[in-house]
Amino acid sequence: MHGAENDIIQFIDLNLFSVLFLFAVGFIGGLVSGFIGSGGAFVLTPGMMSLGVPGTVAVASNMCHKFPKALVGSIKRYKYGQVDIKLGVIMGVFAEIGVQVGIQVQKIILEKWGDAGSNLYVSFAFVAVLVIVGSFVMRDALKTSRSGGENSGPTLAKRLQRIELWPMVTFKRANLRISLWFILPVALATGMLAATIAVGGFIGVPGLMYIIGATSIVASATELVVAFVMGLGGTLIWAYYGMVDIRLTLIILGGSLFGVQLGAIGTTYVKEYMIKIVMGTIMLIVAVSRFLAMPKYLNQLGLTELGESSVKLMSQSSFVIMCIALLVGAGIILYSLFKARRQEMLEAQLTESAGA
Amino acid sequence: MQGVVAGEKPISEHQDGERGERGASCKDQRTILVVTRKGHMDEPVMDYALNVADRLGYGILAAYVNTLPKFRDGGERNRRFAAAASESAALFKDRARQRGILFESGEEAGKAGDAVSRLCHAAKRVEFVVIDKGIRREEVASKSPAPVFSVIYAKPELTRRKESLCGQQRNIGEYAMSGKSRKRHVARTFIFGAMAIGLYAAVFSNSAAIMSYFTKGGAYALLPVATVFLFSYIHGSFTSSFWSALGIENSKTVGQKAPRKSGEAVTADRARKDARPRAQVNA
Repeated sequence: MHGAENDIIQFIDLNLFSVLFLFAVGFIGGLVSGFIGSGGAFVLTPGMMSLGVPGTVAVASNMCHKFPKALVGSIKRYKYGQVDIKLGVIMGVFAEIGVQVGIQVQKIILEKWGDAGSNLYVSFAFVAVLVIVGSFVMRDALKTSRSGGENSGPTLAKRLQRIELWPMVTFKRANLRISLWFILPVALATGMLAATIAVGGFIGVPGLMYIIGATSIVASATELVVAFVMGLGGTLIWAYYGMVDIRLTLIILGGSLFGVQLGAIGTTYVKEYMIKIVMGTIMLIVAVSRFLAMPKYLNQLGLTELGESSVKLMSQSSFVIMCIALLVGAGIILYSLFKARRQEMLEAQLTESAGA
Repeated sequence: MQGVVAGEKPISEHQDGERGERGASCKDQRTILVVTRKGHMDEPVMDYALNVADRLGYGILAAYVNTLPKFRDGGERNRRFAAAASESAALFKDRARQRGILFESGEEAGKAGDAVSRLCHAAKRVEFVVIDKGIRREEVASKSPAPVFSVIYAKPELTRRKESLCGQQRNIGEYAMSGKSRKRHVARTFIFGAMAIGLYAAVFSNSAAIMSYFTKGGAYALLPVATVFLFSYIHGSFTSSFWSALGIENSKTVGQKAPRKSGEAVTADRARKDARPRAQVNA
């Protein structure tokens, strides 16, 4: 009886502010995910925790909203011919293994260095991955945009595709043929990152683009399938332990399904490199945010001795910057969507008047 | 079926008064019967028929079959179909004329197989039948006295905007015939919106009971998963129609931007695929 009461207490009471906050973050997160294949989760989990939701419930509820969102997004983008289901499912299944490996690594670190150590590891993983991959994506995006959208394609992927290593797999929609052995590490890394920082797509999408050789449109759309497979598996595990707060999930889902549709529509208007620009921008801003979160954990571990107030300020600005990352990404998407749409409508009017 | 016969009218009659030519030409000239059940015949099918007719010296008889003549919308669909068909037929005819091919067209109503059978018997020299996408080959083949070909091609969008003039001509009727009007999206928005609101209300008015069951764990894990699947369908349909109703839809060039175009991802030594339309016979 007592235990049951405790179980109920761990789920927060909802008020208007928290509902609106979750709905709005859900919408913006959905918009970004619909466009670049993932994202949004990195703000949602800390955001929910700041509302007083326990960490595990926040992660579980977030994951439970992620897979239906990814499902809706991938169906929408499948209609546009952007999704390679086979690639997504293969990646998703192996990413699930990566998630399990990631959880084990987390457990070992938690046992050795405690909570602060684990948090530091997560932040370090965030910063390292985001800075390295994010700057690579950004550099490539800027290079492509300067050359007017022309891209010779990733050279590494081309080389890997030439290596005939059994078993070779052909992906019709992605228009490529590559050995399964090169897909595995990308999928495992995606899963490991998803288990560590909740956004596997930051490795998954660049991996699909630069190592496997899919275009950014196909990569971001296929990542939604990966997110669906991973999210479904993860949710079943969390729900098995009764950690999913369905109310939070449904509120976020309420906003994110609006966003994911709009994000998916956006991909049909913009040039391919825009996906890379949005992704690179978000990754680099989030990296700054997580960098500012590190001193807190370093202090806790006794590695640094920074002043209490400055650490607090850094932690707060870390969260604000993370929200900015999401807002900037959403802003770029909406701006380029409506700009391209207006231009297309103008062109259509011109053609019509020329025809008449 | 009265409606079937009543709905039959050759377009060329009311277009440029070439009455009677159809009967004469069908008797004298070997003909290819090209059938579509869409308002606009797909371009690859048109091109294929024109190429073959040109090569063999045959004429073309294009039939636009309205398969839903009794659709209950006050005749709106029929009007749109007729408008789109006459537009498409005019384009087809223009192209045929440029290549010196004898061309006839007509609008039919009823099942595609019946229409083909009727036309083949009316015009004795139909050598073979070419069907557009959307018609099942088996259905036509079982009733047609002549061999039936369906045309295989990659994507209509890839060839659609090749000629800007044709693009302009198509566009007007294409929008008229697309059927997915704003009205339909608004209706869907309201239906799915009401369902979504109902579901949300149901969950949040019983949140205490729902939370106690959903967080029990074990086999109860399936409850939240099933719930979000249901919500993603209902609410997903709502949000999709919502943006469409607001007029925010995908770019019209989505087919052209399809990822298939990026040849750079393919290994260099792979042969390029032959994208030309080709026929498949009912044998």
